[in-house]
Amino acid sequence: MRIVPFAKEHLEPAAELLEERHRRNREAEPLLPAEVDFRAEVEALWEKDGASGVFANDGYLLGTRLDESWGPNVWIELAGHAVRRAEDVRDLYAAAAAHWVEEGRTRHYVLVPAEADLVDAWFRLGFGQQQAHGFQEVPSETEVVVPDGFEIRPPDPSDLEELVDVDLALPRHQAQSPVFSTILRDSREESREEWLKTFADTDEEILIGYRGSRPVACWSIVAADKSRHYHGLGLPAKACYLAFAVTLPEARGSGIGVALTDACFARARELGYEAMVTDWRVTNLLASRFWPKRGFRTTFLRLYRSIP
Amino acid sequence: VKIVPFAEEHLDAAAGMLAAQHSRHREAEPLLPSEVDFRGEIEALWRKDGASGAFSEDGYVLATRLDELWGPNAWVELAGHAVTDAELVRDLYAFAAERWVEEGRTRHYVYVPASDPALVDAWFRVGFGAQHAFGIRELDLPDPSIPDGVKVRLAERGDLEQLVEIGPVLNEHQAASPVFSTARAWTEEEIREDIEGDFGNDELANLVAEIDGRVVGNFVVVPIEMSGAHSGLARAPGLAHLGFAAVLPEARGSGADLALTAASFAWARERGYPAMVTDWRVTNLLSSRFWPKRGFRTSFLRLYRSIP
Repeated sequence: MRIVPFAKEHLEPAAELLEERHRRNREAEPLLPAEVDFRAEVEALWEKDGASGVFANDGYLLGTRLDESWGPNVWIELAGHAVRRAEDVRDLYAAAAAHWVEEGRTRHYVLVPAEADLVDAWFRLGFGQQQAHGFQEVPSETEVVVPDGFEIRPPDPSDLEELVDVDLALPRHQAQSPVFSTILRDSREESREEWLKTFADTDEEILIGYRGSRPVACWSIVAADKSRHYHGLGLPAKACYLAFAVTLPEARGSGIGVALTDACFARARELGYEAMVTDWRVTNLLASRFWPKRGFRTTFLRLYRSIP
Repeated sequence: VKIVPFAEEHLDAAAGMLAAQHSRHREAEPLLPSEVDFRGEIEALWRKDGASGAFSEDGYVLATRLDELWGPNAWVELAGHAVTDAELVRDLYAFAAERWVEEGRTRHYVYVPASDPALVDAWFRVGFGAQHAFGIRELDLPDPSIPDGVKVRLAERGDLEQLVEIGPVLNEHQAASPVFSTARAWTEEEIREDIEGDFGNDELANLVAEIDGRVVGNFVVVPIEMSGAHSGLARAPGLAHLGFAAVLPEARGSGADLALTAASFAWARERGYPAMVTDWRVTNLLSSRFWPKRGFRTSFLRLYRSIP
């Protein structure tokens, strides 16, 4: 296989390779969009800071850079690679990563469609699972069964401090084993400011699970195209994004999470959404068991490798 | 699931779980040893520096510590975990890793039976990627054909300097992309001393491949009892171990590797060895493709996760 550094002249053939991959992915997951400007997807990555990669006749790989909160990184976004044979991605990565590591970029992230042989090829390059993105249809009707002693309603500004507690429960959970996330928002002040902004004006639909008068869980949905995760070939038509979901430790197992999920489906249907997407840390034991049981099909995975 | 810190009182129960897991492993890979002192294996780990882990009624995870060449590490060795249900290993790891990370041990290694895809997948879903493979095969299979122009023979003292030239080739290859191994490079003097020590030892085969009178490749076959890695659950007595294999970069594709492989099999077979083991970096594209094609079946995988 002849591998060369990715260059502008490769945008067109790369777009064709991406289109082929996406066609296969749509057979497995029909909610993936039919209309995608593949060249624009690849070109947008190519124009980004730190973009570099490799190209061969049957595949390409293109990494960009996110901010330093992700460490000295390379990000291979959803449109950042396509191959005709899964095994070829190992050669492409080998060629591209030599350059990235020389630049000191030793934390590598890749978004991979959930094709078994492609995921396996990345596994055999030392990548482990980090994040999953799941899709499903919004049911035409959803019965919401709220457990005894609970109530679901929008947030009440007078509950600000309790809502801050709920908000901080997710980053605190994910900072622990086995997630060990370093993406922390555990400042009460920051959370309080976020809530105040939300009360003033928000695009989100927020539902709070109250036990008695105390908020113990928070779920929210928003138009999927408002999220940085869902765009282009990863954005289903008429989709909302279940963007936030957390239950305080003492209310886990009560059934309020299932009720809030169902309430989000019901609300999404009222708002005219036909699909719902969400994401979770695969290393978060609670979330990675909860969401697939709620019907979300893993559509793409974010894999991670640190060198060393 | 009730999970507690691994303790002395768990040795017998853990040995029972390990025996059951190994028995399943042997059904898939009958060349693995039938006689193993499971309690002895786990107890030896438990007595090691830095030993700690997690235990439940249906599984355990127990890690030790290797030297700092591997970074601030926790090693789950061949006998270091067993579960009756693969998914449980994620909970056990979550419990045990909390302490390891608190201790500053952020590089985690685990050996997993390769015949259990659910178990490999469970580790993959707590962030582990493939790093190393153990392979095993019988010797009563047809040998690769030896290409014209390649001569294979036992090394002689007169080959010493050419062997010293080949010595660092494997480490150099594995320091590069996509392996990025940080293994310490041996000095020329250490390599020379090691090779000289092997001359006159009839228990091992130091084989060289020559093309046009130049030594271009070197394989070393030893009894498995001389291997540090292939021990315990991976060591059936009386097998041969292909312990070193390197071909000069300019001779790759010449067939020297095939000729040396055939000669290694033939040497071992003539001495009555029924089977051979070897190992390779999964991220080494050349070796991870070469050895399975030579009939080696992956018996154990070593997986790796770095936090972050």
